[in-house]
Amino acid sequence: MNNDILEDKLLEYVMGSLTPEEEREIEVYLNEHPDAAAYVRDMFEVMADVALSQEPATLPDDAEASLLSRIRSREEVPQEAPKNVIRLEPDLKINPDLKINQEDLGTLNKGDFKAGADTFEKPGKIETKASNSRIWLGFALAAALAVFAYLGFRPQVDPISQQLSQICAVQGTACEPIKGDQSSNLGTIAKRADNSLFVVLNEAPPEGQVYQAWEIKGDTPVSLGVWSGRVLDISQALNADSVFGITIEPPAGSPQPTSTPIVVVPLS
Amino acid sequence: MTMEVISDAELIQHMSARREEALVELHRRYAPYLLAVARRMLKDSDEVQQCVQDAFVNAWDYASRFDDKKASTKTWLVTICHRLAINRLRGTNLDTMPLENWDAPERQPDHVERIYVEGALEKLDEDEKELINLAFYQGYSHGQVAEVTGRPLGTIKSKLRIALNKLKDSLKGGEANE
Repeated sequence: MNNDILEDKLLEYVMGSLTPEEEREIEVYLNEHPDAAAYVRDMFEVMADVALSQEPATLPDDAEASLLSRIRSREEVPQEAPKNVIRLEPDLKINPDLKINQEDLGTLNKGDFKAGADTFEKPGKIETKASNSRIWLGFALAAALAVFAYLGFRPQVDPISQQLSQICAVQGTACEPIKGDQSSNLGTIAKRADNSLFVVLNEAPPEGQVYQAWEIKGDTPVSLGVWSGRVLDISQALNADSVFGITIEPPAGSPQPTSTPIVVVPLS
Repeated sequence: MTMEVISDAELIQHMSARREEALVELHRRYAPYLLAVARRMLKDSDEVQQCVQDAFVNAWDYASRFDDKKASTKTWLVTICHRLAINRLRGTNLDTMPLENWDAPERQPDHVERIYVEGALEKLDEDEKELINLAFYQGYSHGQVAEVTGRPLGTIKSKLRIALNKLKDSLKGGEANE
């Protein structure tokens, strides 16, 4: 086995043809090897460029309306799971012969990714389409899960996103992204009609610390409480002339902010 | 805010704040291209449209998880659509698309970026183009490509690797190592 074989695995990962177990192994490897991760990202970009080089097709007249109708109908029924969520087959079977050799993963280095001849032949029977369609479906769905996870896409029901969707769908509620340095997205703030807030941050606070929310009236910050998760539900109505802020504090919170606010949002 | 003038990444941020106008704008920008991708992969027109709509619904649902450090918006969308189409292909029948129907991309001479990509594709020989069609647009594994073309698996792997690295070198800079 050589690095060409590993590169083949990475390319199959990009093409979406690996088994779930192989996908997971590649994910672990990519998280630990930035060179390989950069190569995979480049390959995803290349294939996207190739796909987008085609003549754009003409959309049906009702495509946009149909999409919006579907979004709205789902959000009007909070208990209903998204209809297009990808789910794993409950009886998914993984072929144990298709594991990646961890030694090969460990030998990959910068500069290893280049074209070259390879005569590797995997022993064993190629699975036929007709007899394994159900397993293939399972493989495909699981492969989608893994790759999308790598790209920041999580095809599973996210209760926080669902809750945020429901709150933002209420008339009178204003929802805006929270921007950090260099316009990075820190999360979303929903300001309800009664001036209470529902804040979802993308990350939980650092281990051993909490988020502490503040209402700043004039020059005086008043604590609104502490949260150990990434959702801050501030049910009390805030003053429309005040400023809302979030700092990272010790577990019990602080009487006054002790760190630079990560979020500062005027409520006016 | 006028959504027409903001970047793709900012549209995703607004989508995470559940702003429908951002979704509409993203759909306006990319749906015709995703429709072209899905059409090339799937035969049934209803399935094609459903696949594209599913891609945007998923983007809406998981916009808050989008990480622009890991992928650009266009790559994220194409990957979602591509994987959903592969799921549909594998969930039905991998034999649905005959080889002769795998047509080459059409020209779009008024778009610089597309001409650039076409130039990269033109550097591939017909054999390499066919392998990419099989692996990317039809979702075939290396083993399945070997099976349908009747060629050794090792040859398929090396040719596909060379073809994809040629594309990468053309589009991302550098020389292909053949």
